[in-house]
Amino acid sequence: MVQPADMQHITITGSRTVLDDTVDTLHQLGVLHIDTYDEDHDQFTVGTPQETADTYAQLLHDLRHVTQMLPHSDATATDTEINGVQDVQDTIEEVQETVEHLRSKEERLAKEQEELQEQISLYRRIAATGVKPANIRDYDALTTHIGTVETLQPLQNLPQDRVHLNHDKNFIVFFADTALDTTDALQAAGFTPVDSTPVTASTQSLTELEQELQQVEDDLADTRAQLHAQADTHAAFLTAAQSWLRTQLEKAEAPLHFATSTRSFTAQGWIPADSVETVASTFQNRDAVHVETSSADENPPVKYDNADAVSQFEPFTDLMARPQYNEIDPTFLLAFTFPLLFGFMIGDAGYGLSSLLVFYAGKKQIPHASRVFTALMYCSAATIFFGLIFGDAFGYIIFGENSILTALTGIQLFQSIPILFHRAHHFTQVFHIAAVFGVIHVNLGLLLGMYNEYNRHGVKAALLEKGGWLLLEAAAITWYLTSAMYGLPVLAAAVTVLYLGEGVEGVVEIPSLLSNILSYLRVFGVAVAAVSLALVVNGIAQPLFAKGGIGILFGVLALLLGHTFNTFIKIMEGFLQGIRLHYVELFTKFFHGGGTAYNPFGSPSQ
Amino acid sequence: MATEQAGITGMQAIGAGLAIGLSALGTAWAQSKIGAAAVGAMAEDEDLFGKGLILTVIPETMVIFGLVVALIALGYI
Repeated sequence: MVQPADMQHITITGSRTVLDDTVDTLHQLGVLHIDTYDEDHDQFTVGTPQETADTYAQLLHDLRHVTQMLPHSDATATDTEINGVQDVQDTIEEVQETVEHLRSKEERLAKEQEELQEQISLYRRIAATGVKPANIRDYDALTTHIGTVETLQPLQNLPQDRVHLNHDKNFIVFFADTALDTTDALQAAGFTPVDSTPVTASTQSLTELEQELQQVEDDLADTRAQLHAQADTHAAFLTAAQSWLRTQLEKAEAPLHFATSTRSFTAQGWIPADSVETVASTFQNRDAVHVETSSADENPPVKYDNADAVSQFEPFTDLMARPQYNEIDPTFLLAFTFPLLFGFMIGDAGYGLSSLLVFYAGKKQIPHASRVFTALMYCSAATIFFGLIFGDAFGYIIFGENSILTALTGIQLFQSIPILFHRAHHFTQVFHIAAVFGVIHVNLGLLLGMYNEYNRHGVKAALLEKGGWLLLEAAAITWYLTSAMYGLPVLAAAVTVLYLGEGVEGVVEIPSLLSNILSYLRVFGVAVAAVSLALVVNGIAQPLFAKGGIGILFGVLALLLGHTFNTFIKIMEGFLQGIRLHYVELFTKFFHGGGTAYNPFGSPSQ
Repeated sequence: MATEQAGITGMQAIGAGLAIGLSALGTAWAQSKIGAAAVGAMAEDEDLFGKGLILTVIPETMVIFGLVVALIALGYI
């Protein structure tokens, strides 16, 4: 709970004949965090992957290629049985062939479609000038100019019966006598020629072209439907095959982490201390392999050891850094104070409920981040709790005096439920609570830091490094309570201890203690903002309700929109400010982080 | 007398507004530069999130002291 799980270093030695078998067993157990062997002693070299590794890697590559060519399928993957590598290989080859054929057909049809569309559009533009597209040919005595023009004035001198313009007067078809020099006039008119080969080269009419385009588009839609059908049919297999191949490849490449000689192999790694029994008994009756506990120089990997409820907050600690092996795991503190802060800052039962719904939806939509959302749901529960204590729901007062529920229903019970205080009327109290919480939180951090230092470097270092801060606080309190006469000596002692413990940086950072505590006033700020936002939305809806009739509908609409918008703002504010207070004000007092994550061989890859 | 009192209250309010406003501007300017650099570093290495966040919020002290001055000017502390 308070520290990461105990780890035990073990060494597995055996004959190379049982290497595959041992790898399979280790993968099944799924508890060994392998220490990769990286030195080359006389007879021990880094192991080579099994021969099957190449096949698996190649199949994975082919599989990814096929998956990339297929459109995305929404078909849910049911559990598919994988019957060995030959089966996988055959199926992948078959699917690959079909899909490649369909894809090349699709590409060809798409290109045809584009060409036809260009042709048809040019036909239409020419027809808009009044010229029949069939008349556009390569003539001996005539040069055909087809293109766009900008001004018409320079064209007045040209023979007008040969110039054909469209309705908008920006597209021209001009049959010029080859002998006539028309370049100047055309250039002055801003003529830009358009590629006319689609028209001159073909003998089809517009209707024929349109029919052909329709045919091509039908074929294209058909091919695409076939691709989708392929994707749907094989989706389950492809997903199952991918994870199966990954597992097989991982096992085949495992010897890369081992030290091997001509006839034997050695693997070293870490297992959780409470798995030692299981591993020992699994390997007990095997002939050619031997497991024993050993010691190591480096620090073990860090595995969290928290109760279920607390473990939901581990992603938050991980976001900062994995704790080191010999320091306190701050997740339990985070799990306790983060919901408190979140709940206090929002402090509204209605918003607690709506944020609970939002987080639940998020948990369903993004299963990858389900732990984070579960942790946030705990925060919502805390918000509902604080909301009931403060008697607030969506900005309306529900308990205590002026309870709106009493006004609406007439039940006196709501008015007499005891509450702490109405935040809207007692901002000063919120201010004080925020400041006091800041003092408590920061001091908790300092105490934890002292404990960490005591674990690492002993009593003297603990007292010097963190004791200086506590002494500083004592100096401030003494000065405030009595006078400068008693305060000054304590202050001098504090500064000395700080200098001894942390050097000049410690002394320079003295104002930071005050700023860290004051930083908690943001809790007051967010709480005030939360209350005010809710009151504003209610204030908008109030006159609408008073109008009656259609106004009630608009009022409900305003309430819905306003409170939904508020929910998201409050979730963002509560989460960000809460987590920021933990990371910057609390963690910097004691947390070092930088531990290696525990990544056992055989665990599902994340 | 009443106008004098009103004058004092007005000056208090102006002082508080200036205190928090200007210090917030300074903090925002500083944090924006550090924040941009922190995001750039995180794009290269995700593990730098913690350090980046702490460095980004170091200038927060300025606006907090501004808030304290504002509250003192208004008479709350």
